[in-house]
Amino acid sequence: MFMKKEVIGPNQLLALIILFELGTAVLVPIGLESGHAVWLAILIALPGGIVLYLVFAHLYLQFPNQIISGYTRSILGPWLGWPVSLLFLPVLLYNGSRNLREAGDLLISASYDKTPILIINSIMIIAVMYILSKGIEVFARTAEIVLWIVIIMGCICIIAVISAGLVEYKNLFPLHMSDYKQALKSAYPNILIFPFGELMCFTTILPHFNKSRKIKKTGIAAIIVSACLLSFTHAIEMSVLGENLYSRTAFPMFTTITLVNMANFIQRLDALVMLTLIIGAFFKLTVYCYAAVAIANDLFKVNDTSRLVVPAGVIMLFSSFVSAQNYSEHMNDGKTFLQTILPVFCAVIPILLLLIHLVRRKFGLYR
Amino acid sequence: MENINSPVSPKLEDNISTIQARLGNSPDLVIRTYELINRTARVAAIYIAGITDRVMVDDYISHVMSFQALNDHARLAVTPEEVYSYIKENALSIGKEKLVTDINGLLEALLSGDTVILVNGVGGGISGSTCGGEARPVSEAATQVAIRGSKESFTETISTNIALVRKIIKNPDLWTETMKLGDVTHTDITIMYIRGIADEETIQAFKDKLQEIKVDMILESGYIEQIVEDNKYSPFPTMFNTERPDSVAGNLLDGRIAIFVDGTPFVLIAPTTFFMFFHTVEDYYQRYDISSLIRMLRFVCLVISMYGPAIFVAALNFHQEMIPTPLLINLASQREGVPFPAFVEAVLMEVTFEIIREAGVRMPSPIGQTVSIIGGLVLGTAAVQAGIVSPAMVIVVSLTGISSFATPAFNMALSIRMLRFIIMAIAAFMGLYGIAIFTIMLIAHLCSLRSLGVPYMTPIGPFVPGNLKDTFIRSPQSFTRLRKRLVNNSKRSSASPAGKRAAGRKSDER
Amino acid sequence: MNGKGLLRLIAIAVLVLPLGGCWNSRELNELAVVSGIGMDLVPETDEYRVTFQLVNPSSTSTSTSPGSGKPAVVVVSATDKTMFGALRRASKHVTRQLFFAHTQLIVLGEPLARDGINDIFDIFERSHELRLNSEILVARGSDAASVMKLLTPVESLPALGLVKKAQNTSSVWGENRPISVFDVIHGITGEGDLTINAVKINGDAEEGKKKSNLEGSETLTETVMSGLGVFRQGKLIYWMKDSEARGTEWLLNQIEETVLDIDADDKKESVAVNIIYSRTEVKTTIENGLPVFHVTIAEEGSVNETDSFVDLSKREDIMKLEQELEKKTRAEVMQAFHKGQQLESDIFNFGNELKRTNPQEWAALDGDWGRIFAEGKLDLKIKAYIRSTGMSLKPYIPEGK
Repeated sequence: MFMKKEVIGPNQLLALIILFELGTAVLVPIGLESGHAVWLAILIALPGGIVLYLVFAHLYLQFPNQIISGYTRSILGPWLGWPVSLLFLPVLLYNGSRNLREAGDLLISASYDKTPILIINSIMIIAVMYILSKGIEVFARTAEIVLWIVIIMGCICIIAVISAGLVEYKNLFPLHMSDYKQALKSAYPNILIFPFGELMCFTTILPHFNKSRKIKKTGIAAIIVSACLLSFTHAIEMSVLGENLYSRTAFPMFTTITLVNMANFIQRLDALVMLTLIIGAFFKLTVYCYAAVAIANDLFKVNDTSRLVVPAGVIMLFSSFVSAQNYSEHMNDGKTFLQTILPVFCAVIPILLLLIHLVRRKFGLYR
Repeated sequence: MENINSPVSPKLEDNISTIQARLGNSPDLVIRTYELINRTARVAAIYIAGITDRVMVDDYISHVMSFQALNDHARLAVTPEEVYSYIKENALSIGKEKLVTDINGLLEALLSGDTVILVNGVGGGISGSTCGGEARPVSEAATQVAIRGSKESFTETISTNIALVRKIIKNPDLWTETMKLGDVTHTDITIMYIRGIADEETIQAFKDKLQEIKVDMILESGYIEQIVEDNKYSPFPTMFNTERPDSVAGNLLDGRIAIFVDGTPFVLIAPTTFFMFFHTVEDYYQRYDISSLIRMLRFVCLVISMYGPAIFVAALNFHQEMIPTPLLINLASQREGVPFPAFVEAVLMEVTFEIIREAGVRMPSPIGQTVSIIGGLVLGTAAVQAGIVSPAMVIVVSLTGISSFATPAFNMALSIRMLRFIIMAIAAFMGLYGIAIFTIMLIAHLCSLRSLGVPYMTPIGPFVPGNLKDTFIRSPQSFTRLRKRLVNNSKRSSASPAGKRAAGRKSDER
Repeated sequence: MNGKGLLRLIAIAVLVLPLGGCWNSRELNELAVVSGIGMDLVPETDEYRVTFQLVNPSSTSTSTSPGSGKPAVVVVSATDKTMFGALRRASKHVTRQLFFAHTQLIVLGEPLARDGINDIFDIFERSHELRLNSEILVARGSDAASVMKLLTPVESLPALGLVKKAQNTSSVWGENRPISVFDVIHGITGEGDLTINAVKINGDAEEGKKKSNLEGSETLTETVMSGLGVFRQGKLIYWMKDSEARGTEWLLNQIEETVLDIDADDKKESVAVNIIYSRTEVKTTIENGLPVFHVTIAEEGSVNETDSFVDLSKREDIMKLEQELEKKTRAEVMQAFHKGQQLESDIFNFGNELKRTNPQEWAALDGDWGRIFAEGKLDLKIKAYIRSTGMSLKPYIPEGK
């Protein structure tokens, strides 16, 4: 077999972004401050998400063959660029490990209460390593197929919830002035960063995209679709659980689905939610892992990508259960992380990069 | 080594003794020597009985040795050269005549069923194709039965097989290329494709691959399949085999390549996709709605036969809350008194089922049925009544067993059956979580496979919307006019006009 | 990509999988499926006495071997300070681990209900086994344990039988509605108060435990659904019955189907109208600092029986019946509403509605919502329609008899 550059097509990018966005965001309560208007908050955050993506896409179009660490060095110069790019590594690895932790915690509290988290997480990490050792192209194709599975399962869940008569639209409306304000407040920056800002990982995947003309269209479509799905799912969760329970439960989607009881026969569809979650978390995790590996690869000039997969996976695995003692600590860490570090890397640095680049280009400061 | 190649000696006796020596005085070697025209010309006809057609041999010999023209001149003596050239001219009428100059070539011709004529005094022989001998006639397909459609199936004779396809696609663009493979067996291999539809690069790559093969023997097309495969560790077959000429024809028209191997009725088809293994030619013969439903049923069966016992075990051991309450109580009462864990019970039943199946396959068909009746009915009922297994488990195992037979391609069904055990074990260890993770890995593995460069999971990964019309469903004929786009096959525009006309079944050009 | 790496990964997987070894794997015949839980209070020690109804799989009707005369369920009790403690303490009595994912029914004993139920439901939210959609009942005039111990005819599992009884009467009679733990938690966390379906034992509770109770065609001891228990601040204060209960369901928009006997010209309560559709819409406003509840009920019914002469082929007569229907409904609803006001207990979800639609005014209300509610006004509009009269028009009963 001859080696050629691995490429991914528009459909695959679409699938990857949707799965990545849904990932864990569909599962954990996001934007709690916005109360029952959480679905609105997600939609409000959408334009910001699109703008962020356009920043990433524009940077890619300027440097079509480089990942983020590559053009950081081109823009900032090697002396400043290298350390800045290096900073991405721990952020990506830590954030990936957070996803792993969340998935593991749900599994433990949902069904595997007697199984050590080490086992649960390492099984997932093994799958991540396996899929990354096959390369990004295989990963993208897998995403394409799995997206169908997720859609089918999601439809089953939503149909079950709706036809079981659990949805109370009263829980979503009416929206008062204060709700709009709160929605706006939780949309920026919280929901903008998680989940939209996390698309920063895709700066390492975009160079594999084979139709650069379509890059903006595809990405925006994917973001809109995933935002609508997210908003819809959270609206359903909110309408079933009510604001009170929604804010108290650790995994609202899970609680929602346990309430389903159709004709005393179709009940407890927890397993479907669990599978959706596993898939979502898995893809998110893999994207993070890939991004970290790609950046490390670029910075340290390692030729064989697959050699970095194992160390990256192992780091994620360990930081996933070493970083926090229990779920509450994990959530608190997450809040701090989400409010301080993540915005810098997901939004501030890319935007700065773009601005500096534009300035340099305009004044011809590139040699 | 005595098998050194030497030119054919002018001396007849030398040649004969060499041949006899090389073939180890084989009794089926027939050497008939003639002394003709006042014993001035000594001629020998050599062939191997059994692989030659007797009538043809006699015809050939009598024809080339009539020496009508020579006798007409009533010549008393001739030179060997005259005899040789005379025979050569006459041999033309029998066809496929060729000259052999060395012993190895001579032996090869002999072993392929030719009759070789040697003339004393000339360092060369004339071989004429008389191949024949006992061959199974074209009969009904035994393994890929269709209710509607051609009843013909391939035989063990490669020329017959090629002819069967030619009869379906009467088109000059149906090209074949022949080669011999196997250092010992010298098996005839023919690859067939439709020029202009099949992708030339793929053909060339495939031919190169075949040429690289260095093995002693090719006994069946399975040898080639396994040698050529890119990923030898994969449980999934990346080549499709069929014994139906219409299936080959249909696939050729889709731009695929067929590989015929002498001695087996199973013709390989490549490149394949995963979904091809769940299609049958009959899907196109029946109405589209029925065919679509049947296809979807097959995919449901695929899921059942892969995941059936695994999900049952996972639900029983890990996710009891998933089971509706009345069913759970029902199952619990069935399992009361069953001494094994659910996983052991499932493995026990599955293995029993595999034993019954394997035993039944090798048996002559009347006994085979008895085996399955005894195994299935008697053993199952007795096991349940003895309280060793629960009735629900018997139902699940039988369902998966039957579902695995709904896969039309036997080699794919085998792979799935093997995977079933792995998934079952994972389910017993980690429940649905394990199943989910394994499934993702499995999908990734499937996506990483390629068959002659075409991604295995086409058309859903990579997503090719046009082909979806003919994957899970089969849309009505009018919608399947377009030739299926294989990923590598982008040179559709180069199809010759003749190819366009011939593309009948589901591949009319726009 | 290469086979070696793949093999290595498979090897790792094979090695790790057994490590995952069956921590959570439980065989079905090592589990005791709990079909119902009864909760009582031990007043002396302030502990919970929790009663479990366990399914006995070998003698359920679905079993392959016919039941050996043993009852289909086994009941055990355990006492502890917390629910979960009691759950685990019960292991002293049973051979198998209790399994709660199929618990269909929770019964609260009257003493516990009177003492307060606000703090016992946390485990249902927290545990992944216990489900939030289990039916909940409160035992009227007895403790929960005696309800759990009663055997029921027809249904082999008493807990399931009780759930079905509650669902059945909810869907055709309308004095009850399906109430799950989820609804109760909503009631507790929301504004206002809640009601829970009540169940009563008719006959001797001791007799009902025995299988002999089921041997006659008439069961001597049985459970009967008996209206609603009204809880204020989580404490049981009142039993609602008959029309009061139904009026409550009406205000809550929970009438699926019910039967009203309405007056004809010449005979009281002689026309049975089956309400097949009913919809209640509630709007709350604040006028002069007091809440006004604008309730609109639209109901549709069909005449299923007339025991006196009503000419159903005439439009006027039908309209008269419709008016009667409205009157009767209004009477029931008002009865329920007044009772609620009298108890200072908003069991009609009005508080939540007000808070939802009008958060500012809700915030402006000062003091106890129960008292404010008690002074509120009900603005009731009822529209009744009779849509069908069954297979016959005029009854065979002669006119004016």
